[in-house]
Amino acid sequence: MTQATDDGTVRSLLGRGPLGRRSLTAGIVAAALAPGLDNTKIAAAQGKPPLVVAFGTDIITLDPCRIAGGNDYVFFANVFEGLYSHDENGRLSPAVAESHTVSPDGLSYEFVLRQNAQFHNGDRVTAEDVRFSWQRAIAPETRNPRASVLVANIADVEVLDERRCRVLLKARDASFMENLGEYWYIISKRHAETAGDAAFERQPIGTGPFAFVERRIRSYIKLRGFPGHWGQVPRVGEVTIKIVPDDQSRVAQVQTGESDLVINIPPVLAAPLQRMPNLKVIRAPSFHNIYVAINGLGGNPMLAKPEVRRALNMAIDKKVLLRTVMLGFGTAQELPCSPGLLGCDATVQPYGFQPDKAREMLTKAGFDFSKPLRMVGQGSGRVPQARETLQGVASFLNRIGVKTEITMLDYGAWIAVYGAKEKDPAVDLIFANFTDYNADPSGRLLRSVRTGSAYSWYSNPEVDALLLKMNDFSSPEERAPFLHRLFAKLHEEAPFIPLWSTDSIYAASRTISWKPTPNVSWPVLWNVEKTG
Amino acid sequence: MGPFILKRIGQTLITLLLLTILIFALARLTGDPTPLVMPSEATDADRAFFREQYGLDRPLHEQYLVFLRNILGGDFGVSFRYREPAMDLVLAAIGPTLQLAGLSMLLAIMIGVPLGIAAALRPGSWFAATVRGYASLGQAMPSFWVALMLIMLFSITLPVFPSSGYGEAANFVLPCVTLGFFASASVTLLTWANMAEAMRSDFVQMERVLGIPNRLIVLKHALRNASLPIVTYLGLQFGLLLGGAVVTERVFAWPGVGQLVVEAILNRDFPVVQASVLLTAVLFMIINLCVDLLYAVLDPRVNA
Repeated sequence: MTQATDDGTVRSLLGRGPLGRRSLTAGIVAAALAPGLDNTKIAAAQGKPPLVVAFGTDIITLDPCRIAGGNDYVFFANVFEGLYSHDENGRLSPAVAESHTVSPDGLSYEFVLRQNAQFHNGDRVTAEDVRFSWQRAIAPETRNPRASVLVANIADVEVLDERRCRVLLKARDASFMENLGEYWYIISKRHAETAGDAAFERQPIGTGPFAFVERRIRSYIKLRGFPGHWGQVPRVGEVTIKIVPDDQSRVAQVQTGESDLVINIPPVLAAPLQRMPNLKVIRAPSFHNIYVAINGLGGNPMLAKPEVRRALNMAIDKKVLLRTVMLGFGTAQELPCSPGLLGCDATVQPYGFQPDKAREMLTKAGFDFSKPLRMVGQGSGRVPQARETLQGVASFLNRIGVKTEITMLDYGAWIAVYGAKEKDPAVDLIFANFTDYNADPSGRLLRSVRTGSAYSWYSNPEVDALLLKMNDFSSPEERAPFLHRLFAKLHEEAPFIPLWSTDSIYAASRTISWKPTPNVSWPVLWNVEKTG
Repeated sequence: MGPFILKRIGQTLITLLLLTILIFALARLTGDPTPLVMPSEATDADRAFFREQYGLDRPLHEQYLVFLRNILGGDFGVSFRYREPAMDLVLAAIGPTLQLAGLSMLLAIMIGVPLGIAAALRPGSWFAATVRGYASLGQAMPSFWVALMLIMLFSITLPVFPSSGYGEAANFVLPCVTLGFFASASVTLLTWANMAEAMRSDFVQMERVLGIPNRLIVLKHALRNASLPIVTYLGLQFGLLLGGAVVTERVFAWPGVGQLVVEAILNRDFPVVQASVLLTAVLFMIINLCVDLLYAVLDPRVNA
């Protein structure tokens, strides 16, 4: 699989090892010869220390209009940017744009682009690029599978001048600003049009703190610090993201010094690492939520009763589970959302751990204790401790006399059941995990509680009506009290048993100094410092 | 020799055809790949387009005929996950796997054959007991455990070899030792047993009476007679390593075909599963064919 570029260089995405018949084009040479990569700036990045990162899963795509899942953000969060993004504290902050204004009706957003925002090929970012990025993201031939979240609601992007553009929405969308950083990346019109879609996916150019250099599928991705970034100039030079699928081997990478930073350490491996003198464990809160969805759709009529679902919530000691199963690497949750998500305030009265009351409520509701609840779990290891978590929940339910039957499925079979259009009436409780890409809750709520949506095992017309109005506000401030009411209603309805939001766990050598961005589940690397 | 080869090639082609049916059906039994490929934000129309694009909306028999027609034209389809030609992904992975399997087998032969011969020549000695202990350990220790122990010893405690990765010569050491150690145990025992039997045979006794030098008896006559089961085992083991060194490839982040096919099965990436299985099957059959031909060289009675 090779690709001829404009300048005649042939490079391979798959590559071959030194002992193979075809040798891989050397990364640096490829980068230097790549059309559009600014050689001067790449050379300027030299002299900074290289960074080697070990990651468990290869990404799927390099094209921002084809992102298929959260893993891909290990690449996109470092190479691309939207008009706005999130700062080191996870707060909304300007990125390619320096400021914006919103019309009183909430339908028109005017952005002023940064004077010094530029692409990795040295081209300045213009309003035309913003318009082109939108057009490409909604073009039918692009087949952007996530267009429905943000860009499909844009009626037009007007170019006012080189640095100013106006985005007109079809309907008000209070989640618009929060989603800019994850659902609408700005790409270079000149490069994308010159290269064409296929070549763009192989040699993408963004505006982020790192420029893409080279990828060998299932082996590594190479990036290089972009000295021309408007403000977040990396303190490291070349970054190699190695794909190391096995958890133990990934940990060994930092123990041996082969990698400087290891991503996604399971809690059971993180605990012993904390005692090792030559490395450190770094943790940050994330928006990765673990919960158990209750099938309230009528397969088991008992579970359609809110009081039964509340009782099941009261039967689980989340803090004990978090301590014993996750070894404390997470934050226990009462509401069906992570602390930090907009509208997710904890002013509601938590259910707490009240096993006696739970048993009493179930008895009063006429719950049949002789019939086991059928539980479905995820057993493949994609989510750390998924199996143990569901077993722990079952054990707490058993303590109040509720019988359980657990079926563990591999990830593919689990997601087929969890995301099925018609939910299986033979499933009563199902292990679930959900990652919010930013602090806006609308993506989660629309997909996990709205009637008929992919991950919803619950239906309530009253909640559906609230969800319809959820984004119909001009500003986040105006929307905040509404979201509070919505989450309070969901707490009362108890469609799930929320458990915790997991910590993102990293292991790093002592030479690394880094504060991960909270509330994202992928590493943003521009602020990594390496000494020695 | 000619009819023998033609017969074997004919059998191989029929087996391959049956295999296409089997692998096509088994891949589809795992379920719909759409939820694993499309993000949760995708609309019903996006999902329908995905199925249409890859022909997954057609009846199964139609899908199979298209698949068969395409592979006859050398088109194994495009990976659902990586959107690259499936065969290119497999060919990129088969190189590292062949290298790993080849070097491991070489190591197994270099260790197993001399140890087996030496133990067979010294029955009841302390040396034979030590060899038996080595072979038992090699067969008893699971390869993932051996792999992790090697990493702990030679990457973490004594930082001599890299713990994982592919590309440098040093990357080969620990994975090859892991696989070679396991295979060498079996080669040792097989060589030992067959050599012992050969050494007890009438023709060896006769050669001794005739005063033929012991070295010649052992290496030229007895070893040749003992080699058929060893060659069979090596052929089978090499074939297994081509598709089955999954644990070793995973632990050492080796970008081989075993790990590729497991990932493809878990992600329901049908084109990659089909291309991997077919290619490894063809290689396996070629190896079997070679073993059969080698039989003919080693044992003239096979030609009869």
